[in-house]
Amino acid sequence: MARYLLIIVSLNGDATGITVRVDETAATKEPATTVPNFRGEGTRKIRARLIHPKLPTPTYVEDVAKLERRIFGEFDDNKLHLYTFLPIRHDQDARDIALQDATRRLKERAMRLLTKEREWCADKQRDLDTEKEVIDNLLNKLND
Amino acid sequence: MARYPITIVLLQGDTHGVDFTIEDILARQTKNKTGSVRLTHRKLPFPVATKDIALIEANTYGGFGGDMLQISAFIFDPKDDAAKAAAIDEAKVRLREHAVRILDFEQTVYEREQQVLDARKRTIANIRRDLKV
Repeated sequence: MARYLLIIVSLNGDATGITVRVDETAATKEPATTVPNFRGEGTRKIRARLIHPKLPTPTYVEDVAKLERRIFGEFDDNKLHLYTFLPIRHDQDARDIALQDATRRLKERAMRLLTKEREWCADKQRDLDTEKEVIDNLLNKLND
Repeated sequence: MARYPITIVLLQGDTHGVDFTIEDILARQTKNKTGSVRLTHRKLPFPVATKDIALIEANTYGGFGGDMLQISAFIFDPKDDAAKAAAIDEAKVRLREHAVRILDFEQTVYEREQQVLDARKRTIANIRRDLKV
């Protein structure tokens, strides 16, 4: 069983601010296996998979390139948590460039999510203002 | 099949204000297989056994939904006009008190939701500021 190294770049946001975190986390690479087909004749091959709690499952090794372009996570419960995956690069320059690019993409996504959140807050505030107006109005009339 | 007179006192509130509506209705009185007598009418909260009338009379029904407060009280078979007028006045007081309790609760819910929303706005502003740095 081989190990496949991934770099996870994550943004953790809460009321105290935001941090960019880089973890080098090993994902387990399950080797490709072969099993008999449904007639018991011959075999079919099951592709090698990567297993890691942060990875969407199942993730096949050939999908790693796709993973690099994807961003996972969302704004939830007053926290913003986004992450992406980068195959480890031993060339320091290539690694720095990849990290900068991933961080930039994560921040852009975060801004888009926050814009949506602000729109949601504005809608919610309008609803609450109306509710407050109705309650105040009725209380005033009842106390007249 | 007998008819049973009921007076409904209804407190209706919307953004325009609050109004009391007084309505005389007749409920259908039926006897079921066990011999117990029930009253049914669409304005009654549910088919009422006549033995439960005192309970119904002591309560108010309805609540706050959307921008409308609508609660009602039922007065069964007022004996005469004076007794009916007194019962209506008493029901109005109870409905007003009930309405204030409901609105106080709604106010508490509103304040809690506003606090949650304010916290969320602060979080968003913090994160946006830090992202721009």
